[in-house]
Amino acid sequence: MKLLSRSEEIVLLCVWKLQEDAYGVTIRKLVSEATGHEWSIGAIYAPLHRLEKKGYVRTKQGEPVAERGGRSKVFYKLSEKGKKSLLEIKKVHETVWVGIPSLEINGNR
Amino acid sequence: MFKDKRKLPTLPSWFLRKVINGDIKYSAIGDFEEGYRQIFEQRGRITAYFWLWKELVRSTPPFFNDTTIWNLAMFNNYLKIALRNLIRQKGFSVINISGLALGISAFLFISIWVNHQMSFDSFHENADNTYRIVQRIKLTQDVSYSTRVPGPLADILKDDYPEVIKAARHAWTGERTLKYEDRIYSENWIIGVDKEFFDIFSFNFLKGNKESALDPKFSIIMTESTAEKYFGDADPINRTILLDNYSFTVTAVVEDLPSNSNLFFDMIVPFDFIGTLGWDLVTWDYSFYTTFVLLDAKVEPSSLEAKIAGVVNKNNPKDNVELFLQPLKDIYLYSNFNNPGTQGIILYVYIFSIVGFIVLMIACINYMNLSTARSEYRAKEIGLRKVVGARKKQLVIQFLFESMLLTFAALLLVPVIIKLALPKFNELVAASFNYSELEITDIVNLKFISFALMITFLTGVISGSYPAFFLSSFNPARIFKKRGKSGESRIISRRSLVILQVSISLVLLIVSTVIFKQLNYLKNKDLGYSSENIVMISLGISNMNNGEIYHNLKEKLEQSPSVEMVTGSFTSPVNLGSPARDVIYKGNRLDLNTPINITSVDFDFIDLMGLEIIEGRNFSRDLESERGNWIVNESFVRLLEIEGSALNETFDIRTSTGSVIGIVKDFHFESLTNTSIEPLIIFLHSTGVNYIFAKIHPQNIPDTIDFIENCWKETAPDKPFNYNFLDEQFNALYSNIETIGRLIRYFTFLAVFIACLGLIGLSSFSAEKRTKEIGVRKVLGSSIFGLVILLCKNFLKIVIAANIIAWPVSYFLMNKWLSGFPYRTGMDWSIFIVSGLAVLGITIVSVTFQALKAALADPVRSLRYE
Repeated sequence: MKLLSRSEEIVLLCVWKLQEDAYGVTIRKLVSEATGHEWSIGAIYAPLHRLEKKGYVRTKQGEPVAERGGRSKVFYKLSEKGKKSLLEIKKVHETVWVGIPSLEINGNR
Repeated sequence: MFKDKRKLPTLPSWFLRKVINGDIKYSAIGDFEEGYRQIFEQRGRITAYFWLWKELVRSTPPFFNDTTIWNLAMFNNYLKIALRNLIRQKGFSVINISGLALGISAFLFISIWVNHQMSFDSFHENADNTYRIVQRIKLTQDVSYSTRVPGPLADILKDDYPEVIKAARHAWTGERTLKYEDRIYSENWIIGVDKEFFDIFSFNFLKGNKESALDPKFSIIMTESTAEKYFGDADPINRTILLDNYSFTVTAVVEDLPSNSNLFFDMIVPFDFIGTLGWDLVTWDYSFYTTFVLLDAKVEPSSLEAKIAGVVNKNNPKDNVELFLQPLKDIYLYSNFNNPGTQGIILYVYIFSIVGFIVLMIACINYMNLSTARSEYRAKEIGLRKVVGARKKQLVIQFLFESMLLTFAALLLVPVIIKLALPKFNELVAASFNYSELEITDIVNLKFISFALMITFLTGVISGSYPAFFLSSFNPARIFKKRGKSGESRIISRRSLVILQVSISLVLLIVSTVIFKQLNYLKNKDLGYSSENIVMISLGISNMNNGEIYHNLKEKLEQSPSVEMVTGSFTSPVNLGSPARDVIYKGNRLDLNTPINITSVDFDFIDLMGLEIIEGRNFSRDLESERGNWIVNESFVRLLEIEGSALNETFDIRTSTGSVIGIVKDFHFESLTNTSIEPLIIFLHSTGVNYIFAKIHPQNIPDTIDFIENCWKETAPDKPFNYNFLDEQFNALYSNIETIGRLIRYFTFLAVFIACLGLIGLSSFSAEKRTKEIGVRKVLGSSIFGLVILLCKNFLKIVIAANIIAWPVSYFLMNKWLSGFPYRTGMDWSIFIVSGLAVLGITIVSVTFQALKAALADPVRSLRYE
C-alpha cells in the first residue's frame, strides 16, 4: 500500500465528505475550516492534481455557471482506488491509535 | 452576457494562464474567478483585486512545485555530468574555453568599433529628418559630385519649399590664428554657420543662449576645451579674442563634440563672417557651402528631391547640375560618391563585422568538432539515458546545457581579455576612423553587458546545437552492440567543418596580405616627385601678411647650409589645386568635360618637388613678369586634343588669358585612392603662399627643425609654428586602409590561433583513438617517421582541400576590393602559395606534436592494457 502525503490525505477526505458538491472552491473552504488556516488555491490543486494523476480521484465537468465567468465547475469524485485507500488509511489510523495513552492536550482525532 | 467589470483583470489572468499548466488549468482558473467575483460583490473591487494578487502569489510555489522540482533534479544531474566531463578532459576544456573566450572577446571588440562607426551623427534629435544637399555635376566625360553648393541656395529652399522647415549653410573658414593675451594658437576648425544650424543640430550649450549666440556680427562660440585652452578657468563669456585682425566676443560655450560626430569644429562664427572674408555668398557661380536642411517628418525626401533637383541649373544655366538629398546619418558611412559602395567607410564596417563573425564561428566549430569527435566517450551514457527513458528532446537540452555552461565559463574570461587587450585595440584603431580612445568604463554599461550575454547565449546555442542533435540521435541498440556504422558520415561532416575552418583562416590570411601589399604599393609608388626630406610649414589660409612672412623666412632659411631650397604654394601638395572654372579653349569650356585643378606656386616649386618638365620651361626669375604664363600637366594637354606640341597654346580662365610655357610630367597630387591624375594648371604667384616648403639635408634633421623654428619665431613671433614632413602627410592619406590592414592582420592571427587550438585537440583525439593501431604498427617495425606521416596525412588532405576552396574565394574578394583603386598592386601567385604554405606549416606544427607523442609512446603500454 502506498501512503499518501498528509495534504493529499486531507484533500482526499474532504472530497469524500463533500460528495456531490466537491469542486475547487468548496474543497478549499472545507480544508481551510478543518485545518484552521487559509489554504491557497495552488496549495489545494497541487495535492488534488497528484491525486488525480495517481488515480484516486476522477473529474466530472458540470454545467457552465455565471459566477465562474462562464466556465463550468469541475467536480472531483473518489475512484474505487481512492475509496480503498481512504479505508486503508482509516484502518492504519485506528490500528495505531489503539492503546495510545491519553494525551494531555485535547487531541481532536 | 456578463458584466465586464467582474471579469478577472487582464494582467493577473495572464499570469494565471502562464503559471498554471496541465489538466488543472481550467478548473483552477475557474476557482480564481469564482473567488474574485464573490469578494467583488461582498467587499468591493479593490479588496477583490488585492485578494486576487495575494492568492496568485501564494499559489505560485505549489503550482510550480509539481513540475519544476523534477526538471531541477534533472538539471542537477546534467550539471554534475557536465562538470565531471570538464574536469576529466582538461585539455579539451582548456581548448574550448580559451577558444570561445577569445572568439567572444574578438567579436565584442569588433562590435564596439562597428557600433561606434554606425552611430555617427545619430545623437542629433532631428537626425532622421536632416539632410545634406549634394550636387551631381554632369560633365561630358565624367560625373563628379560636390557636397558644397552655392550660397543663395539655402534661402531659396526654405522660402520656396514648405517641406523644408530649416536650412543652414556651413563653411570652413580655413586655418586662422587666434590670440588672447599671450596665448596664440593657429586654429584649423573654425566654421561659419547660419543661425538655424542650431535648430537643426542638437549641440549642448553649456553657457550662453542658443537663440542669440550668433546675433552679434563678431560673435564666436567655443567648445568647452577650446575655451579652456584660451581662458583657463575664467568665464569665457563676453571676453574678446583676436581672430586674425578681427576682434570677436565669446557669446556661448558648447559641450565638446562626441567622437561620433561627423561635423567637427572647435569654434563657430556667424556665417556672414565668411562674406567678410571675401567669399561670394550671393552669386550662383561658386559652390562653396555645405547646406543642411531639416525636413518635415511627414515629407517623403524623394518627392522633394524631384522638385529641387534643378534649382541650381535654373539659376545658373551654365552648369549641368542636379541636386539630391543625403541623409545625415549616411554622410559618414556613404560619402564616397565617385565610387559608391566600394570604398566608403561602410565597406570596412561590413568587412569587420564579417571578420568578427568568422572568428567567433571558428571558435564554435572547434567546440562542435571536439565534442562530436569525443562522442564515443559519451555514447554509452547517451545509450543508457535513452534506455532508461530519456527522450531525444531531453538529450538535446542536456547537451545544449553543456555548451551553455562552457560558453558562460568562457564569458568569465572575457572581461580579463578585454581589460588586457583594450590599450592595444585603442592604439590600433585610435589613429583613424575618428575613433577616440575608450576606457573600460566607457564600455561597460548595461547595454554592452546585455549584448555580451546575448552573444554568449547565441554562441552556446550555435556551438551546442550540432553536437546536441548529433549526439542525441544515437541509436542505443547500435551503441551497445558496438557497431558504430553511423560513424562514417560523422567523420565526413567533421572533416568538412575543419576544412571550412582552415579555409576561412586561409582566406583571412590572403586578404590581409593583399591589403598589406596594396598599402605598401600606395606608399611606395613613384608619385612623380620626391616627398622625402621636405618640411612643410603651414601658414594658415589667406592671412594678409602670409607673403611677407614667407619671403622673410625664405631669406633666413636659405642662409643655412642644411636647407637646400625653400619655396611656397597656395595649396597643399597632398591635395594640390582647387577646381578651376570657365576654362575656355577655342570656344569650348573644358571644365564641363572633366574637373580641372588650378594652383599657384612660387619659383623653384617644380625643382624642389623634383617634378620633371618634359617640354618648355620652368618659371624664370630673369623675366620681368610671368603673368599669363601657365605650366600644365600632361593630363591637361590630353584634354586639349591637339596634334603636336601644346606649347604656346593659349586659353582663358575666367577673365584672364594666358599661354602654356611648360608641360610637366604627370604627377600624383591627390590621394592615390582617388581617380587617375586630373588636369592641372599651375601659375606663378610669389606672394599667394599658404604653405612653405623647405628641402633639408637628411643629416641632423632635429637640429635643422630647431633652426627653422627659431627663424620662424624671429619672422612671425605672434604665429604658431606648424610643420609636417611631406612624406608623412602623404602616408596619412591612407591611415584608414592602414588601420584596416593592421586590424585584419591581428584578427587573422587570432582566427588562425583558434583554429590551431582546434587542430591540436582533434589530432590529439585521433592519435588517442589509434593508440592500439600505433602500438601494433610499431611492434611490426614501423618507423616513427612513418607513423607521424600516417597520423598527419588526413590533416594534409584537409589543408589541400582548404587551399582549393580559399584561393578562388579570396581571389574574387580581393579582386573586387582592388578594383576600387585606380592604382593597384597585382595579385600574383606567390601570395596564394606563400599563404597556403604558411597554413600548411602551422597545421603540421600543431598536428605533428601530438602525432609524435603518439608515435614515440612505448607500444608495450598501449597494447598491454587489456
